[in-house]
Amino acid sequence: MSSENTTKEKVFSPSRTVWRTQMAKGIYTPHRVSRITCIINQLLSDKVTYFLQKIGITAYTESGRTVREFIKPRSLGLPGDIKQLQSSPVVIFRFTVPRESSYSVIEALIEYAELYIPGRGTIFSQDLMEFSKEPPAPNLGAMVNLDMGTHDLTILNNLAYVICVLSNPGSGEMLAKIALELGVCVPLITSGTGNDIRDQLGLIRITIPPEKEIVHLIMPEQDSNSIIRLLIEQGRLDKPGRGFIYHTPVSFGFIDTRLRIGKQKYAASIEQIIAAIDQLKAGTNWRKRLDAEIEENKVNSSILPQDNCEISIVSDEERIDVLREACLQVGATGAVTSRIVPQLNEKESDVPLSLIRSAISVPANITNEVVDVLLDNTTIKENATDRIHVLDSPAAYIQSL
Amino acid sequence: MIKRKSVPFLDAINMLLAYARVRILEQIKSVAFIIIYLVVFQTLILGVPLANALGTAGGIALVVFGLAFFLEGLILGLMPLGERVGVKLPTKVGISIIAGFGLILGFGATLAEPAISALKTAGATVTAWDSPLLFMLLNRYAEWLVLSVGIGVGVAVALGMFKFYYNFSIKILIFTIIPLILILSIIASLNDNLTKIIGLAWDCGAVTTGAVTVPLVLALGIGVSRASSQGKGSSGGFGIILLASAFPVLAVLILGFTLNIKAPNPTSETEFFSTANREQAKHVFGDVEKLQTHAYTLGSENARKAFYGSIEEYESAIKSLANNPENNKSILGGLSLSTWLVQKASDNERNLLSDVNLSDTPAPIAASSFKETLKVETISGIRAVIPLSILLVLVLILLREKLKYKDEIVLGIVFTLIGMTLLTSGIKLGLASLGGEVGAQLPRAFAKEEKFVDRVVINNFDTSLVYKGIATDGTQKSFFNILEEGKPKPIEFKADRLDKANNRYEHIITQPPLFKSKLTVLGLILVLVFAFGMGYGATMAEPALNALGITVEGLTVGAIKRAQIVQVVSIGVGIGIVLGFSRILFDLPLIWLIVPSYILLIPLTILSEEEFTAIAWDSGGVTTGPVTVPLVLAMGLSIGGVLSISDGFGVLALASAFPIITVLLFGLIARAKQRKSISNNLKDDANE
Repeated sequence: MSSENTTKEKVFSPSRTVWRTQMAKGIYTPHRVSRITCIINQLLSDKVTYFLQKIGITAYTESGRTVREFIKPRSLGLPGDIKQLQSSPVVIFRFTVPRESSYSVIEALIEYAELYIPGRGTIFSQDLMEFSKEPPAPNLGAMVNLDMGTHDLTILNNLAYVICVLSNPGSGEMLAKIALELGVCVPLITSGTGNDIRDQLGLIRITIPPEKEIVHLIMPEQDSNSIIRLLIEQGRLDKPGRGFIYHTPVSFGFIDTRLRIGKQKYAASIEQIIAAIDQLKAGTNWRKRLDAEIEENKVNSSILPQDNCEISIVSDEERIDVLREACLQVGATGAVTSRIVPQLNEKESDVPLSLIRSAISVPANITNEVVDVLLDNTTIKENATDRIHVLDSPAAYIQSL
Repeated sequence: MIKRKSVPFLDAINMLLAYARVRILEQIKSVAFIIIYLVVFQTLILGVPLANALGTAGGIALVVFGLAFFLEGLILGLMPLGERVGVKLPTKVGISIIAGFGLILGFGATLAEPAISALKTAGATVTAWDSPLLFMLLNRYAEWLVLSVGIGVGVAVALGMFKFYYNFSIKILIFTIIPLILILSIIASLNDNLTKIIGLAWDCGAVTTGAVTVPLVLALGIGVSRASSQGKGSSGGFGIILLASAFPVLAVLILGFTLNIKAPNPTSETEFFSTANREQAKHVFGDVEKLQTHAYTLGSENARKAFYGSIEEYESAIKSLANNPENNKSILGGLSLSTWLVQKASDNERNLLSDVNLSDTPAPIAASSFKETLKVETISGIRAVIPLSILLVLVLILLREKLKYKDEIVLGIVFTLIGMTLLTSGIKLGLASLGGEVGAQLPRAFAKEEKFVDRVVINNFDTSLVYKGIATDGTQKSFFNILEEGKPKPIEFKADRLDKANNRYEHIITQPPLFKSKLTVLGLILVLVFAFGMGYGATMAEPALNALGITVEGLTVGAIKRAQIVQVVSIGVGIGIVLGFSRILFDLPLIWLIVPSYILLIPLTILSEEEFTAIAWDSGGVTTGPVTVPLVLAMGLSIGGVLSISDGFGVLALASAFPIITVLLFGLIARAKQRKSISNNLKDDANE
């Protein structure tokens, strides 16, 4: 396995256009980096923090929860099992590294935080364009001093990161359940706020809750299309105002395979078997779902995928409001903001301890304009913790109002 | 500016209806348990039909709407406002100003939501001779009590601001303050006078954190800790409620210790009212008139005899009651003469006043009218909500901060106000009367004797109507028939109730005990089971607890559900109330119950993680709010009254201690489960 097999060449890539435009302008230099997302059980988050501090990387953390199926025998000695959903709190670390070092950082982090043990977490890398004060410069030499073993790791290629933004309270749980039942992955649920519709209304806006539930799924790329369609159908996302789904490509990643906890009937769980075959086959291509293909033909969805681009901004609360408004002016709606905490590598004072991350799925044709207005209003030159990430999102399913 | 979209009228109505439906259904769910429970208990177990069912139902409807408005108002208005102030303060001013603001806020909040009335209710049966110090605190020095509680809360909020600003561990605070107040309580328990105020002190801690203060302070704490907490792992705004419950205890104990220097010691009733003791007694009351009223309202015949010194003076004073109706109001403390004669006077005194016609006994004071209650509650609602909101807005203006959704926040504050008014009036009109009815019936469950219900005087009693009945063993009893709605009902005739001179018969209507007199253990269990269910049900409807639950759910991204927290806390309150009532029933010293429960908390707190510790200790403070307090007090008083226990304090204190235990246990179990899911894997790994 190698890191060369990254994002497939796209016929049209909005982020590439952004890169060309901004390079031509020459005011802000985009950095081509890899963003690593590490979703880890809260009990183990200190280890990741320590690791990142050692190699001198500023990461942003967000809290969330992963949902698993919990299987236990029925009480009172009744036959059969009970299936429940069980949530465990997790911490999501997001940080960027130079593309060439992303593979080794992921490998080292898996070893150090013992992510190879199922149930502990997921980690993956995405290539993207970053605007920030300084490009990331990790001190990779420090990794050698850390205490870690060597395992035979199954790092997978051809993954897709599917993000479902849902407006109805409780629908996150429902979608997570569907994903678990399909055996897709361990769903991650985070919370955010989306004020776009509310801001356009008068006082009647109080009837629309600003809270959004965001379900994050990592799945084999070849299945993503059909699974997204299933989720759209089950979550009725083809109805306006219920939410939207988009997918972004993953270069490579290591996935938590522990979908179920509790009683286990056989010597190896089905997840362990899948993980073993993944390792043998060095990929997930063999797992092409048959049922999904049938579903795909069956579902006569009213929404078609759009070519989009995910733009995520990190800044403080007030700046985010300015930036969001600027985005709205050029027609980019659907921003979801969530609270993140920067994990600084050194004791830096006068840095805000709470930041906001706002993610927007922007249609490809206006990506350039959005990035332009963002850069016009941004403070990345002043604030070391501010970021703008631009990432292709080849399939977004958004039903507009 | 962003273009405003207008929503068509019909759509807007539909949106509003859907919005209201969800919220009202939610509140119906949260009060359903307690209401069904009370009704079932009263009609099926105690076998008493509902009195004023229509009024009660109306009151309950008000409670549901009140809760929905109140909670939504908090979410829209006060909580975002508090959070905004919390976020902005640390960026603009130093910690000393923040702490000063906290002090004012805490102090102001206590004065705005005076819980002292609830405490006065709990102490309505406190007598000055048994517990002079407690009596002083509740009456002559009631303002001092409120002020010291206010100072306690103010200091607590200020200290809380320090905690968030410097992010020091909540455990340090717990392990310094809690042992301090425990030790003070133990010292107090050694003194005859001070031991009586322990219950009051701990109840002050439990009651003061009101339904408006809690969410506001929580939101403020979240804001401050977000903007200033250095390093990671902040407990996200939790911990102030704990302080705001602990410091008033400390403040009241200190006030008690101070006043105790001059306070007279508990004595016998006769000695207390005797003329020789007048100087001491005056110290308790301030003036003689109040002492006199006390002798008439809570004292017995002995008290009044001792008060007047000589028998002649006493008798003339009693007789003058009939002649000077104008004076009676002040002497009898608001009771009418006939009520006083029926309820308080001794037989001897009744004889002295035998010419007063008893049959015109006024009906028990009618429940205050709907309009009147609504008016009173609106005023107290305005007091509770408006000053605090103005304070917050003023701070934002001083900081030159602009609010983003001004209309929304104003609407939220209005909702809070409407909600508060509807909720408290609904409780007064519906829930409390329902609770009071059940509470009044409950003592029958463990009573050995028949319960006195009413006294009827039959004029022109004709003894020729009396006939005899015989039992299988040959004993004979006399009876007469009384007409009830035109139908005869046999009543046992007792010769000593017949006033031959006036041809009057005094018929005393009683209710038999629920169980036969030997089954009092079963009765006690029934009372305790009822107490558990009532504590559990009332807490589920507590708005401040729901606000805390929403905050916890948000901070943990749903890993801990609001419903879970509410359940766990409610179970804790149920257990606490059971223990509190056992204290009243068996007359246990409160300190025996408080000290062990807090000692149990020490290992639990050490084992728990920081975040959960703060949440758990805070949930102790939020439990006793506008729904629980009136219900618990109504029940505690009626039971205490039957057993002639001096006060109903301590129940609320225990009701705040036990949720801490249950929430900590819940957190430990949840964490153990999590660890298990990881360690299982480690084993698998080792086996490979």
